Amino acid sequence: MAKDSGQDGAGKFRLNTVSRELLVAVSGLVLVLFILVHLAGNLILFRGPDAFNAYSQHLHELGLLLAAIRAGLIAAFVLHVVMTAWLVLANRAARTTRYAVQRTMGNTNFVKQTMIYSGLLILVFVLLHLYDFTFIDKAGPYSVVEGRNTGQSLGLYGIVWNAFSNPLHSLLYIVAMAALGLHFSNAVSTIWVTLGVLSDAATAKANLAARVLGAAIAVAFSAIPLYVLAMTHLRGV
Amino acid sequence: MAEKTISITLRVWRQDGPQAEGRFASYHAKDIPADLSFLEMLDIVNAGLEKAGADPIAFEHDCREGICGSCGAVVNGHAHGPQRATTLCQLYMRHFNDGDVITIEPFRAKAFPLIKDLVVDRSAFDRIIQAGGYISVKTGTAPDAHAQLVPKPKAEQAMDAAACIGCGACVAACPNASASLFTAAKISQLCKLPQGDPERKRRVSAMIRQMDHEGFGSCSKHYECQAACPKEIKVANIATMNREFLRTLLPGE
Ligand code: HEM
Ligand code: FES
Repeated sequence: MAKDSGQDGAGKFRLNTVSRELLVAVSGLVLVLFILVHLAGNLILFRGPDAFNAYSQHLHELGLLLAAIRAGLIAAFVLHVVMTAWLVLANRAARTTRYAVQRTMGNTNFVKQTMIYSGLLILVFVLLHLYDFTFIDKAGPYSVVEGRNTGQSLGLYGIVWNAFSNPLHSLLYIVAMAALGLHFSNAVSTIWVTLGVLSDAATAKANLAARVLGAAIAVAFSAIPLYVLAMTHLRGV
Repeated sequence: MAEKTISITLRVWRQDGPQAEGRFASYHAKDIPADLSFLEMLDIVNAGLEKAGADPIAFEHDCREGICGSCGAVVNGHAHGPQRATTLCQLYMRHFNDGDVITIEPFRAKAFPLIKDLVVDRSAFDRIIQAGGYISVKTGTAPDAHAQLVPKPKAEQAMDAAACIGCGACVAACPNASASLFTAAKISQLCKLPQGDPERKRRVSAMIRQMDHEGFGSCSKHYECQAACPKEIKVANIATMNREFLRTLLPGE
């Protein structure tokens, strides 16, 4: 009777669910830090092409360090996706017969129930985003903004400008940032339980702080496409 | 003064056995005194079924005073019904209205296989306890109660966790059918006390391993378990369990 022995499977190395949760939380925390730094960098765009391109230049001058940071980020991202997918599949399998009537006691919500979907949207977005701004020739034809800099390349700034002057492209980014904001707010409110550092008394405050932070991040990231749209379509710059 | 009564319609999950096909059956319960408990209402319905030569609805119960953890079903989508901090046996019909349609389903989880109608096999919980939810002590005369000092806040946390009656409502209410709240409560109640300290590392690993092995899901912090728990066990215990597990990763003493 394998089921009766608590030792079944002992000796075989298999990540238990708590370890998987912890890996989701730790990799998620790395991604959260990255998002904050990335946002700070992006906002330099408001200081004009020179400042923004100089920032991009500085990043690339980091050389090996940049390569190491990128490798770490990719590792965290892959770990996060693999572990969450594994957890979600196991969680689905844990209830094979659904309830005919299921009501919430008022604690779960849409955001909590759609973590995997907001996550998958972010995943698709990240691939598009890398294609848009990372793998592109920063001095190529797409970096020239019509009517600015007398037909010369505006570097990464020009590329961003051209991308976001397309309303559909901007909309896609804004939707992705909304998903990120939601994912982020729930993640930051629950991660403290996962990491075992939260008492009940602090929960309400952590939830509020996480929501404010999630909303702030979505709005701040979206400010860039909105700014470019406003400049190109309203002021015709 | 005439007793207040209500008439209701029940939609009850009927299933003859683990392998049998289940279905909802409707029953009309007329003139049920509002001061009866939910299980007493089911007793009346069952008496009627037996009189008519039909198979009564199988449901589990024992103490009927909210302390044993035997009873439980999902009533109108809520484990143990809509009343907070209440077991099904302590839920009274006065919380329902005349003419209500009440849907009654068994706790649903792969790790709680259905036996009959509303009765599920919760022995997975017993195996989680067997894996480490105990302390090893020398038998003999009981030690003096004050032989080991326990700080008051710790004692209270341990007592709060120990209020768990193992009914399984946390699993039933969890979107992931996770047993994290149950397992965490059993770990907390021991690890907060000096008596539970010597075996703490082995305990947390073994109990989590068994919890996974039984096929329960993991915790996504929906907090539905805490809301459904008749003993108001808190999700903070899950933070304690995770912290206990993290300790096992530290280099050994
Ligand atoms: C940069 C983007 C991302 C950030 C900042 C982030 C952050 C986080 C954090 C911190 C958590 C942990 C919450 C906890 O421990 O309670 C989490 C959970 C989760 N993440 Fe992400 N994540 C990102 C991308 C993704 C992607 C691409 C996926 C897609 C598969 C995903 C799927 C999930 C899921 C399903 C959970 C919940 C796991 C559970 O059920 O407990 N995330 N996220
Ligand atoms: S029958 Fe004992 S708790 Fe309900």
